[in-house]
Amino acid sequence: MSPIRKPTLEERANSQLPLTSTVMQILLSLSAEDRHGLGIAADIKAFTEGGSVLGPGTLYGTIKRMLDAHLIEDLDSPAGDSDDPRRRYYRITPLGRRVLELETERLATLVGTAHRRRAFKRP
Amino acid sequence: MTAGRRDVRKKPAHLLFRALLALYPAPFRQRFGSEMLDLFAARYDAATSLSARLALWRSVLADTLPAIIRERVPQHSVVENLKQDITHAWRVVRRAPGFSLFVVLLMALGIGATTAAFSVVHSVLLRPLPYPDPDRLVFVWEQRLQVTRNTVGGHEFPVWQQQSRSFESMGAIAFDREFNLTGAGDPVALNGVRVTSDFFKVMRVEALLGRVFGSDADVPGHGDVAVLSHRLWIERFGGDRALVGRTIELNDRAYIVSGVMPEAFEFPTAREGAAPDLWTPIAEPIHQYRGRHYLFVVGRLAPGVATAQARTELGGIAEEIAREFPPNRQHTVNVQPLQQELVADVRNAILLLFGAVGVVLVVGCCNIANLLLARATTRQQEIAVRAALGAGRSRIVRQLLAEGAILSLGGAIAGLCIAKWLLAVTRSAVPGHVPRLASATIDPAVIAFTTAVAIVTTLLFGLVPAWQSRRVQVSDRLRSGNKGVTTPRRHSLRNTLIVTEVAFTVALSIGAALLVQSIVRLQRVDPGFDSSNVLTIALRLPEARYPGAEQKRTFWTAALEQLARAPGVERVAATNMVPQGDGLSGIMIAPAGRPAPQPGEELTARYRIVSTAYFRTLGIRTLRGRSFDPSDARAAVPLIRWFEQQPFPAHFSESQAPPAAVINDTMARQIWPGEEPIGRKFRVLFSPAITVVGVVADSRNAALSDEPVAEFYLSDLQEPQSRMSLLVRTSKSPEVLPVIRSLLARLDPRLPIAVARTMEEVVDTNLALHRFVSTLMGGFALTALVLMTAGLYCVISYVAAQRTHEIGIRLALGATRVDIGRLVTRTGLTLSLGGAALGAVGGYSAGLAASTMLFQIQPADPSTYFTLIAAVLAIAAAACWVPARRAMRVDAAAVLRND
Repeated sequence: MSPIRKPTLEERANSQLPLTSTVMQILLSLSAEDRHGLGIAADIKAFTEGGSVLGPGTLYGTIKRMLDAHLIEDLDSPAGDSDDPRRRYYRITPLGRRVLELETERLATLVGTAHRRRAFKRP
Repeated sequence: MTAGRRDVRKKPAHLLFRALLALYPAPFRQRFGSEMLDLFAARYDAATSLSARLALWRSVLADTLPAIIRERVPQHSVVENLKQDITHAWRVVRRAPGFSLFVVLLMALGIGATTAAFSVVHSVLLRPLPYPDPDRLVFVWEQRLQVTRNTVGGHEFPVWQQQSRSFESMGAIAFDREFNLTGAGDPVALNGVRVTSDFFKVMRVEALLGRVFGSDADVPGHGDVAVLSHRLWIERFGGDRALVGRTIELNDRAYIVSGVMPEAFEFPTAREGAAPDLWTPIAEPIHQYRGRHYLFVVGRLAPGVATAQARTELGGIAEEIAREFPPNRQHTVNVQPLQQELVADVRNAILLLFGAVGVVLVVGCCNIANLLLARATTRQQEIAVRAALGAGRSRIVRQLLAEGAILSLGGAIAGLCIAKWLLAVTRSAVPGHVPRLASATIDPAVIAFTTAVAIVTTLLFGLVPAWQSRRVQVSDRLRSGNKGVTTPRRHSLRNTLIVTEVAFTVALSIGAALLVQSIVRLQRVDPGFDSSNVLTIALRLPEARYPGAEQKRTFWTAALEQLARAPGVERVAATNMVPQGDGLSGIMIAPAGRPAPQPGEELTARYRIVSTAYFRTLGIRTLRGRSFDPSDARAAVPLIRWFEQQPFPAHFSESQAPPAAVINDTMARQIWPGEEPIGRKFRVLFSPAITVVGVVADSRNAALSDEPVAEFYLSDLQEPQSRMSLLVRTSKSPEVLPVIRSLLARLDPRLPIAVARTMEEVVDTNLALHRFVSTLMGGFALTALVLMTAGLYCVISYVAAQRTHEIGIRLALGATRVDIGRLVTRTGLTLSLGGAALGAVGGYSAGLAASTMLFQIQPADPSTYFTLIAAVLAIAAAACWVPARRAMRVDAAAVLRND
């Protein structure tokens, strides 16, 4: 019987892979700065050039699961924001950052392979 | 800004979204609700056009509803728990393999029978007809006084068609002609129907090959066009695509084949359900045939028009017709949905059997529930242990449901197999023609039905023990061990099940008994003719070679003469309609010497055309006067003129045999009560006066169940027919048939001979459906009775066994063994009596539902009720007696020692 020990950050990060595209997009959005939900949705819409418009159900359902998985954490509104005191801001956790890195590497490997095998036309 | 957002949130769309949010679990809503609303509000405000808003709503719903489900149902634990529940349930089911197998088998039988019955109900009664917009298709009948479905007259249909606005199209069908196909293999008699070109517009069916005929074919004299059925095209013409545009020989005339219909198009079927082989145009001046009722009318209602509206409109048109044509006074119109009309004959029978099968399922389920209830008592300890170990109430209920689900699933799968087999049996065993029965299969709708039944039974099976376990006091249960402590609540559930079981069984038995008695009485009815040892052979003379009445008469006279001399033939006659076989014809009559009747009060009588030896051949007694003889032959034939303008036949004014009729006893009594009918005269439509020359005994020519009505017979020597059936009395039917065939072939080698049937077969066919339903109902009632007896026996035994301890104490305190017997039997009998009383009420409704099939017996027939209730109670007493005897033998000392 192996002794019970706490899993390492690396192990926890690996157990989250692969990510759904929604989780990936939210992590990407929060990797730049802390944002509230509306801000996340707007940012994703912007960097996908309108290709991904998250509905409220998907967005907040995913946020809840990411909070539960400790990929992100919520903050109280920064003092400077006068928008709405009830608005929560979300920040990426170290675990979330590691997961994002690992997933990006995984995808990069895939894209590289696709390039080498000429699976798509180079621009 | 904040205030601004608040305002925005009062928009109805925001309220609606808020309502949607209410579906989320409260913690989620409290945490994210306001943010979600913000996001929605921002998007909603950005969407300015209506279409953009609709698109937003669509995407929001598609996004939120699945998300809500995801939040509501925690995925991980559900799958895990379900796995555990099923594993555990499977273990429980396997622990008692005998019990489980028995339950599954019982269920499979119940579900199988119900599924098969439902699939028949579905395909025959519920499934829409295979034509575009089938809801708008109707049958249109003429209605007069008691006759609700009369064929439509030539003076009515064209007027309806022209004046009615309720119909998109209206077409007429006539079954009055047969078609002999020659020049394509052996001569063969086909099932041909004549239709107006609008018939195809009504049905909205196009030809598979070529085209259906257009309105040009309706013009009199342009009718030599035929549309073939797919089957005829394949069987007789080898599916030759070049056939379209070529000619085929029908009734010795050339018909151009204009098209071939798709395989599935089999409308309208003939009386015995035979699909038509070909459609030809009616192509005659229909409107001139005033008073000739020979059309079946189908219509397609205009969009949005209800049946009742169409009926009202046609009713108004009917009144106008009556003003111009007084005999039509009080004739109205009956519009019925086509689908209902097609299944009218079998609808009751099917629903009755479906109900009966449902009753058997209920009785079976009661039994299973009782078994589970009994077993649940023994399992209470297990449940108590689980509860003591911390299993929540809902968890225990879920596990019990999982057990029920496994049993039901097994039952449903085995049931589907049984249903498939039962359906195959049904399709081949059902007598007569049931429309669309052949296509009854286990289709998705049927599987959905079976699933629903299985879910209901799962709930029942799972919830019975769960219901029981809900008040288990863990400590009590663990303390009292396996000694049953029954609670009054459990009694009431068990008692309800027994009462239900008995009530349903009694109701079904009463229904079945009423039907079985009806069929027995029907079979005892004297039809008034002797059907034994009589062969019937239908023949049809093609119009082209036998154009006039004279030629037809010559053929029949020769045929009858030659056949009468053939070896093995005792007697031979001919008629246009075989009794109980070929339908009925009613016609208006006017007795001579009476004032013209009030419109609508004209007398009608049924009639048939018979040859001279008809009465002798069928053993129908002549009561007064004489029957027909060769001297009745007239030079001027035919007798009946159908419309006023119809020219008189040749030789009409010459001196010859007077028109003669033989009438039945009922007609003599109805038209000339208390008078001598012989020598009286009457007219038929526009015929010359016909003299009554004889009165014969009544015979039931329509059906055994129909009381005789006024009927007269005309001689084929005066009213020759192209279509007649030979009635050959012979004691050696198989040997005589080839002789008859060769004789007929010698007379006319191109005449096709249809299949010969015996008269007994003809009469029997009419009873077949009735007998089939009665037999099945009897079988179901018997099954229910056996299940009920077994159920009662098991329950009383179980209760007695549970009360062993109590009985021991009673005996020790001085109760006699008879007291104990009475104690045990009393429960069973009281419950049965209650059930029987309820069942009698149910039986009455079963009787009412079956009333169209009852004959000479009332739905509330007292002796049936009395006998059946007594019998069921006797059986119940017997089922209780065995456990009672066992209880009486309880050894009080042994019981008390064990305590």
